Amino acid sequence: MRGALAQEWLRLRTLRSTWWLSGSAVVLTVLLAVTFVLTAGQTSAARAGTPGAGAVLGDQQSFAAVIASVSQLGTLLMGLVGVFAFGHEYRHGTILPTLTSVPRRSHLAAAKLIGVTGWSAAVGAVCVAASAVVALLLRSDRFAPGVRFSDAATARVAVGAVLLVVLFALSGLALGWLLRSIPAAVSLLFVLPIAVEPLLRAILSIKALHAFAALGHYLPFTAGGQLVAYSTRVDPSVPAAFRNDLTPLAGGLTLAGVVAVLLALAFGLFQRRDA
Amino acid sequence: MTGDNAHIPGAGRPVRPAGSTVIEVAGLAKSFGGKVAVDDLSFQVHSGQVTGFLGPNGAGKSTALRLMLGLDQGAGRTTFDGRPYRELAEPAREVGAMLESGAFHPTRTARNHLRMMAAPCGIPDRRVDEVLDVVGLSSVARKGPRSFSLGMSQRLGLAVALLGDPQVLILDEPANGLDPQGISWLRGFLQSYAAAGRTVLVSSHQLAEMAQMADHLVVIGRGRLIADMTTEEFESHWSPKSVSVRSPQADRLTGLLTGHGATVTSEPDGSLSVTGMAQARIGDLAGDAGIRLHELSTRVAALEEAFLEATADVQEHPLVAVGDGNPR
Repeated sequence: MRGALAQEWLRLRTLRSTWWLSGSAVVLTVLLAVTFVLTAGQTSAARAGTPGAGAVLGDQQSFAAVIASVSQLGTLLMGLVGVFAFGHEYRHGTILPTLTSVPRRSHLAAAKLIGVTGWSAAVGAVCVAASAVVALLLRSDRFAPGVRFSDAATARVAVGAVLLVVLFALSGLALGWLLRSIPAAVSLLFVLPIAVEPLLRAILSIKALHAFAALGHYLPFTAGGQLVAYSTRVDPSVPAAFRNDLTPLAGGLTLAGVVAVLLALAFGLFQRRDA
Repeated sequence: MTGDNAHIPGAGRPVRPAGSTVIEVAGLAKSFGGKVAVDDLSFQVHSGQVTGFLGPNGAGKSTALRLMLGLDQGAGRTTFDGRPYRELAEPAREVGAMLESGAFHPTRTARNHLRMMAAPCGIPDRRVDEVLDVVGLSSVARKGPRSFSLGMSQRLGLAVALLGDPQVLILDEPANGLDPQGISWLRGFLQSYAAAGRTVLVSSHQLAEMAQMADHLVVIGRGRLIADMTTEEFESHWSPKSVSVRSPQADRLTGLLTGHGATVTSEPDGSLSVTGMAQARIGDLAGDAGIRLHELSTRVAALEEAFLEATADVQEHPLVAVGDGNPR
């Protein structure tokens, strides 16, 4: 098992895409964090430059959003790192030499799970830390006086952001492993959270379907998004289709559950399929 | 590639006596959607010799090799010194395998590819550089294989197989894409590897190539075993110069020719295949004895032709052991 891990560690490090995807995740996160800090609390009137519209200082929630900047794009990029874990093996036929060097498939699977989890957690943590540095450097007069790092909900959002990055990476791994095709896995990884789930939620917002609107809260990536939700308060005045009643824990577990099922399915097939 | 093969088979490691059974293949079978790819295939591979695994394209060689290494799921059992591949503690140190050429990431350097394959068995980078040198890829060690020729890809695959300095080598079509020099080098390399008491199983669809490389042949067609014999036996069995004779008095003619020292075999189509006697002499003897002949023709089966015949229509000739075949 230690050998399989050593191999996976080398695999990740000797792949250019690991570096440019991870690097891009950090850079884009920093750019987003800068944008979020600079626009913190601004009303649309102030952004539009309406005369007399005063700048509103950012509150703790917008501060937490800066810390969780990685959840905007970094997650998808690390999802790609996950897709490549098995995607490349099938794309380039390296699954044959890989499995001859590590013939126990459970060892190979465990090594890749650990490798992708560890790498994405590390990159997620770097992104969160980088966002915090951005907030620290640029905060001065853009946030209200009471806004601080040590706020409990902000700390939870920071941890949630790292977990969300890891869950995206593992979704990618599961999809690449199941489908054994990089294009198919990447399409699903992007289309599900960006298009399919919002579309389903929009459909559920139709009046006739209001009774089912809460189902939309459980769509896996929508639910997972709750990991970086600052407020856990449910506002009954907002229609169910436009809010999410899941707590960060429930949302995170929903996405984690779906990812776990996909991984289990992929592993089961991996044990039975030809290499 | 380095011309010096002498240092390759690792010094100082105990080797088993030549001729011991190392790989035991029993009852391998696999079909893809109803189409049989490998059909109850059993054979043994012994140490101290190069065993050629021969069959036309699509005969099921690669599938059989993948089954042997536990890469494909199917029936049967293959053991390496008594243990299935999956149970080997350090597979790369016991069995070196090269299955598909070009199985590497295009931008990962050749050296890093080898380091990755070396990692599970804790094989040091020093050995990685050594095998790169052995296969003659040192100068491109830090290049991505994207630009590699087929021959270079094959050599990188061979380097992977050699990493653990294994007692057993299993190579699927390693000569594909090699230039004549490369093939000659490979032949020398594998023969010296085997001469050091190790076990080499190498597949090919080219009989001529195998005839020069292998001491023993396992021939398959349509997934079934056709022949399992020394290369010499196979050659003499399948490619003698023979005379095809047809006669309404076949029995008399057989007795006559056998009496004069020829070897006569009855063919399924009713003709006789005569070896060890020239065409003219057969005609003379038959004429003197008043035996009518309907056909008298000399046939030299080229090795390739013999091989094609041996592997054609396997269903009707499931297994040909030495001595009961139909040489023409």
